[in-house]
Amino acid sequence: MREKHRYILVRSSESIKALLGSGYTADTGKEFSKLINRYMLFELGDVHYSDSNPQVAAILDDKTFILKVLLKGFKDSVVGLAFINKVNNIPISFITLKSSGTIKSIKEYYKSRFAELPAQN
Amino acid sequence: MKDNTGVLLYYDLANFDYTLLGISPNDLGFSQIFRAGVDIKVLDAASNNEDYSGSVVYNSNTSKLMSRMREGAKGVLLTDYVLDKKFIQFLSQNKNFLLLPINKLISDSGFSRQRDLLFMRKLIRYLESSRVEFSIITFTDDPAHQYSRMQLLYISQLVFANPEHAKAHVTNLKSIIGDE
Repeated sequence: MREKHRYILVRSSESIKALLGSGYTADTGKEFSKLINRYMLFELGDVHYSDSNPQVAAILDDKTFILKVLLKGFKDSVVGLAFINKVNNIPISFITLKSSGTIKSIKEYYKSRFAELPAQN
Repeated sequence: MKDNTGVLLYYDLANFDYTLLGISPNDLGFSQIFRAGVDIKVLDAASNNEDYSGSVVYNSNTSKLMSRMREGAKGVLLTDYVLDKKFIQFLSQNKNFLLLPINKLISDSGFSRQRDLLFMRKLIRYLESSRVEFSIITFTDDPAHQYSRMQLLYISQLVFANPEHAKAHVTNLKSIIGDE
């Protein structure tokens, strides 16, 4: 049976570039996904992390991204994101603005509320 | 609290004036975010020569809080999650309400946060059995930490035995402060 996913629109208080620091390369998505996974693993622990399996699905702008998680660990992921208050010694907060079962509806919501330009990725 | 179509309305209390920063409560999923000092009178119980009638007071000294309640303050904003049974019984008898902020829980980390969660769970269990009206709020000073409805609700659900009860206590702020 196919596992169900949930997409979460997340806004960071700091820019992704500032969070990555020297790790900011051409493949920003991959580096940022690694960074988020590391901090989510710390907040959720091994058991809840495997229930959530968070992945950065898309970076929409300098501060906004979409996180793809398993439906089973959706609530844990939202709380885990709220509990991250430092990344690479930079004080930060991640605010979850919207969640949906499809990435398309999240992108549409983002375009209608926050962006004039079409989303990247 | 529900709107005309039966949809639950969510409320929060912030310790800064978000209107100056262009933050929209709707974008964060709230029907309204009240502002301390603007929409709700929030006073330190230790300050003198203040009119406490209708205000929400905060202080770590419970005897001071009780005396301000007698002077007309209608609610208490907790600064820690420590359970004082005598004080809760006083609130229950006088029909005063309690505001329980999660800002400390968010700013702590590791064992301190686990301690906060444990104390908060005990406190809430006692508040529910004592039938004290209370609401869970963010009450952050920092606009960057003004979390969304989704986050406030799911963090609240960590400390309630029943998730539906958590929902009831993040939607009742407007009714308990009497801002109808």
